[in-house]
Amino acid sequence: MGIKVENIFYTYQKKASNSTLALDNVSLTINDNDFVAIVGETGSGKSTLVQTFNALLVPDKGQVKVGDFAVNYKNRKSKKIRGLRKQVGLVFQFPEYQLFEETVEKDVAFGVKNFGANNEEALASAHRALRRVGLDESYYTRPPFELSGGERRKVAIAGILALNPDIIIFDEPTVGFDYSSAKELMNLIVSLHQSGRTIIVVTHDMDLVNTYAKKVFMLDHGKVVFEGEPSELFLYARENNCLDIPKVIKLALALKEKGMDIDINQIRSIDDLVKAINNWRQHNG
Amino acid sequence: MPCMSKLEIKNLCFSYDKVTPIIDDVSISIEAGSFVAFLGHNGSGKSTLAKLIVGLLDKNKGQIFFDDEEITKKNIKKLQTKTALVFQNPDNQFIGATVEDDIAFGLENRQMPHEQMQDEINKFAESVNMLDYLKKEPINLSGGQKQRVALAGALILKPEILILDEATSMLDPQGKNTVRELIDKIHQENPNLTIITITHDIDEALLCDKVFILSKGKLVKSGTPQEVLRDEKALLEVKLDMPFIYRLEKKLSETGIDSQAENLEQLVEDIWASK
Repeated sequence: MGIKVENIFYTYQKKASNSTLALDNVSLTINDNDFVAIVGETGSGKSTLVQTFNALLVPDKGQVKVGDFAVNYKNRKSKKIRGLRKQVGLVFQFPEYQLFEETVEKDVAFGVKNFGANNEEALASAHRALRRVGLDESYYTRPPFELSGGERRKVAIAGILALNPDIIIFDEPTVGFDYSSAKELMNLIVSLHQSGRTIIVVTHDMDLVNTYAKKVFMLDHGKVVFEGEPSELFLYARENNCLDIPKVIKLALALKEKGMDIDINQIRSIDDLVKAINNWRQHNG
Repeated sequence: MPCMSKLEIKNLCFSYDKVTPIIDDVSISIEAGSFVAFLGHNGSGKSTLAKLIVGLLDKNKGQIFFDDEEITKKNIKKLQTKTALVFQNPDNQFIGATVEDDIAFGLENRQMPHEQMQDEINKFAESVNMLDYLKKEPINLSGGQKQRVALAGALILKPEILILDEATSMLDPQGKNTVRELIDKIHQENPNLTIITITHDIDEALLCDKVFILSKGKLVKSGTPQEVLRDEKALLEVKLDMPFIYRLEKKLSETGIDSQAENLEQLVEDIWASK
C-alpha cells in the first residue's frame, strides 16, 4: 500500500496568537513496499507529517491518500479512520514509555482486542507478534516494567505488528540503543520490508539513512526541500551545510576532492568504500 | 601507600534483589583531572555504577575512596557536595520555572546569599552560552539548550567530579554537537575537574583519556581508547563495535593498506599515499 500526500497544510494552536504552521503545502508520494526515510531538524515537521498518514492529525487543507481512503478535513470523522489506523502502524519515539498493561501479552493484545478480536484471537496475534520481535514465551506473562529498555521497546513494536499493518512508521527507532540492539532492531525492520510492508523511518541518524533507505524526503520549516536517494541527500547537505553527513560519505567526498575517481552513489557501507578505494588503486597503481 | 587517584573503587558489588548481581566485583581507579568513559551496552551496569559512586544507591560490598578517604554513610554528604550529575533526559531534570531558577537550584540548597548568586548565575549561564535565555521557561528551549542549562547548574556547584550519564544520547545531532563541544571546552578550561562520561557511543569514548568497558556488571577491559577500542573481538563480545575510523582501517589493512591514523584527515592522506 502506498501514500500520496497532496498539498497539505497543518497549523498547531490554530486560534492562538502563537499558532505555528507545521506543514506548509507538503506533497510527496510513497510507493507500495518503499523503504523511505524522512529527515530534517527538530521542529521541521517530520513527526507532524507522519501523524497525518493514519489520521492522528487531519490536515487543515489538502489530503493524504492512503490506499483508497483520503485523510482530509471532510473525512475527519469518517468511520473508515479506524480501519486506517490498523493498516498504518505508527511506532512513536521511546514507545517503551507507553506500555501500561500488567503483562507483556496483555499489552500487545490490547490494540487487537480494541479492533474487535476476541480474547483468544488477540492473544494468538500477540504471541505471533512477540515471536516476530524475538521475545519467546518466557516473556508472555512477565510485567513489562521488569524488562530492559530494549525489550520494552520490542514489546511496544509487537503491539503495532499484532495489528498486521501494511505500512509501518518508525519515529527514531534506534535512538538510545547500543550498537547490537540497534542492529537487531534494524534487521527486524528490514525483514518487515522484505515481507512486503511499506516502511517509513523518521530519523536524525544519517548512517541509518545511508545503509537502509531507498528514498529520502527532507523537511525544513514544514516544507519538503529535498527528495531523492541518500547519496544525493548528502551532496545536498554538504552544499547547504545541514545534517550530519555519515563518516563513510565524508571520507569518500574527501578522497574524491583529492582526485580519486569514486562514485558516491555506490557508497553505502565501509565495505563499499574499501572496494571503491581498491578499484581506484588497481587502475592507478 | 600514597595513592594519586581522585576516585578509587575496590571490589564493588551491588544487586537490587541480593541475587542477581548488577555490579559484580568492580575495581576502578580514576586520576584527578582526567576525562574517562564508562562504556557498555544497554543494561551493562554503567549507570548503576555512577549512582553508587555518588551514594544514590547503597553498595552491598566493596569500598569507594575519594581523595584517599573512604566514603562511608557518615561522610557521604561531603562527597556529594563535590560531585555533580547530568542525566540523559533533558525534560526530567529541569526543576526551575526559568533558566536562571534552574541554574540557581543547587546554590539555593547551599544557602548562598541572593546577591552573590546572581553574579554566579550570569557567569555560568554565559559559560554554556545561555545568558540570553535566563528568563525563558523550559518549554521554549530545545533539548540541547536544556542540557546546557543542566551543565551550568552542575558546574555552578564547583564540583571536583562531573558525571555525565548519557547526557547527549536523547539529543538531535545539532544538540549533540553543541553539548559535546561544550563538554570539551569544560575539560580544557578546568584541568582539575575529573569528568566521567557514561555512554554507549563508541565515537564519543574515542575522545577520552581512559575507557572502562562494563558488561553484565563486570569490568571487562580498561585502558586508553587506542588500546581498548581497536580490539574488535573483545568489543563485539560485549555487544559494542569499534569506532568508525578503526573499523575502516581494519578493512583497509586486509587489502594491504596500513594506517594507524587517529583522525579522518590523516587517514585520507594514508589512503592517497597507498596508490
